[in-house]
Amino acid sequence: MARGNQLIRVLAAVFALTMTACGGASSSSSGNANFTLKVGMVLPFTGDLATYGPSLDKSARMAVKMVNDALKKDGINVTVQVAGSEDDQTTPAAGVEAATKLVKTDGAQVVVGSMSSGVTLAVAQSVAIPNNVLLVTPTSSDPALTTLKGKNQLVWRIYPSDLLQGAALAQAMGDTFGKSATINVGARNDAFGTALAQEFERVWKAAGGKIGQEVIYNTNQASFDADAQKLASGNPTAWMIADFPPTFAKMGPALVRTGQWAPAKTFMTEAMDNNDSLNQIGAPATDGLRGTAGSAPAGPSADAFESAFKAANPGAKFTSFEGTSFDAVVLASLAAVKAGSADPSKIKLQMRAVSGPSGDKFGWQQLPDAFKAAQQGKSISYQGAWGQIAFDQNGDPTAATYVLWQHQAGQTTNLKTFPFGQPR
Amino acid sequence: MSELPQLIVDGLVSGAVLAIAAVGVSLVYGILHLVNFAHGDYLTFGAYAGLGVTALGLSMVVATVVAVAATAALAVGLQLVLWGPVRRRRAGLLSSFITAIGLALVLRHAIFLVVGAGSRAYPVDQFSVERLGPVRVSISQLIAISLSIVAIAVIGVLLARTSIGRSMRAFADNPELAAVAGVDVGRIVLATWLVAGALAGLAGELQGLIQGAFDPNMGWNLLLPIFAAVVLGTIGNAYGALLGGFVLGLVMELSTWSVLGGGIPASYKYVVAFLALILMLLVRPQGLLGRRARAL
Repeated sequence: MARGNQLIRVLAAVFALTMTACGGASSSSSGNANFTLKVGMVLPFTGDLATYGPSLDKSARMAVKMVNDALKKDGINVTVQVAGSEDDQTTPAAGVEAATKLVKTDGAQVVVGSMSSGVTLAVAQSVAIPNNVLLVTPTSSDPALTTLKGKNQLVWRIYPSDLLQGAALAQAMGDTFGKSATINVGARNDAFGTALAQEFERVWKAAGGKIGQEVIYNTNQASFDADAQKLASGNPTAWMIADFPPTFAKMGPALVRTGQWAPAKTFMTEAMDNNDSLNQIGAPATDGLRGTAGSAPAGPSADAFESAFKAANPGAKFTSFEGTSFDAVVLASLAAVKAGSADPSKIKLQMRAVSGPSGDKFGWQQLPDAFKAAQQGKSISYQGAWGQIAFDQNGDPTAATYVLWQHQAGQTTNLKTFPFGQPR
Repeated sequence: MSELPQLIVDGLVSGAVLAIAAVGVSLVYGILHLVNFAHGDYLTFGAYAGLGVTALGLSMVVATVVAVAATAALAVGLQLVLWGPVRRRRAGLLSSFITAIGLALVLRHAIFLVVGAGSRAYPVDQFSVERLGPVRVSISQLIAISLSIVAIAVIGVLLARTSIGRSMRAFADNPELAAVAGVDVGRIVLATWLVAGALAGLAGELQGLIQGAFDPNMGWNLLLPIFAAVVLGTIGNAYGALLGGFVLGLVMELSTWSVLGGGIPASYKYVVAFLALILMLLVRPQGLLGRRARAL
């Protein structure tokens, strides 16, 4: 068995190397008010969410710059430093590797990331919680994050949970198709898709609606025709499909080929609210498509943020989710300044106190005033680029704004904006 | 009831791609004793080579020729600069295997670097379908079916009728005996990579076509089913790999047939395929076309 022994020896060596590499420094903390807060980004630069990752990274870096400018203006002796931006490839394994590097090698005390819920859950469990590092996810919406065991107030999110979005989606579909309609549900087989489908079905059935087919499909399979056939069948009133653009670029055409599906009777979610992606997929699979999306509250603040992002990042794409990673950085920095420390176990205790709804209101354009108030130990109600977050005790936003969007004739437009939930 | 014929056609189409790719892996393993972990990325390379040609406004026919030729050239080139030297230094099975994993990563990320991470598609109408009796077939599927029929016929003739094909099979069966009988080893090795590369290029382009949209992870995602097809059809046996690919494609699609207890949820397609593989290996450990190993 020489070959077998050789294999075992190689694996043992690889394992030993990995262990030594992981045994490095732990995060430092400083008790006085002169400290450097290191923030690392774990975002999808490749993979299914590659459309969004680079833009969210740019807005997080823009936040770091604006926070430093504000701190300098206030004369507060605190610096926020970018520990690095790492690619999670929209996969949990790569995400854990990326976060490990940021935390162990680059000494990040706050990790902003990731977008996909599957990646965020893995990073939370394998890196953030065991290393006592604050994790703020911009867009992960899986309810499992709320109830994550042993998270010890280390995991926070800016984007609302699917518990909220599933209900908002059910409400929007009920308004359109009637509450007793039969809906076929399709979802990508990952934490995001399955959680959203489950929550939507629960709310839909509770309101008296019926669920026809439920198809949970794998995203990396060679052919989607069998899945599409099943999802299109049974002549339902409408469809709800939870997917991301690159997968739907394969699923959509397969659905059209069945001849039994209509995009105009289909509702999807926020990741599809992207005009370029929808046009690239093609009109037969996207014309008339509607959906909900968590959104920054409409108004001058959102418009100003979009212009500021475009001015700071010429040529970069504005995906409309930039506010989430921007606010993640600002909230963590505010909490650190209020705590007077870069120690994650002190920062985490201040996260709710800077996110409102109680305390003085400061918009994202009033960062110098906000940081001055934070340094004086006051409670702050930060009105972010993504709106008011108002974390609950589980680290979830208690309220959110949603838009109902529709893609028609090559243009995605917002039909209406509606608030959902109550800040508390 | 058009569900069954539709599933059979879909299964044959995805099976054809697996079959064509698996022949290459099987030949390379049979002749070079190399588990080519980078084969999936050869497919991706082929798909993007074809895409580059269509981006110049040329037809899918030209794209196919270029995809096949470019990937064959890549495979032969890598033999000359990588696998040849590795072999001359007498790398063991495990070192070659790990080299292949490394090559897979290098190739994939080189492709990422050049084309970016977004997903792309060939300029072929993904939405219209032709009705053939009870079956709906897309243009892409039609192209894939016709090209794979041609490819499989060519492979068959090459292996069975040409002297290089016979030498390849002889070498895979018993290298010492083949060498004694005057088979030129260097030529066989290059021919093997040429064939494996050309088939990988074709399979990559076909997969890109039937999948509609693809990104640089396409071939990597397909690697496991390709290996499964190789094992199913008897490791190292090219005809077996063809058969294994088709069986695997059919089993995956048919597992969702609603007559089978309402159909297994589509997300378990791979589970069903690999259960079938495990069962088959329990009953016939030598694979579909293998000879029973003689007890020593």
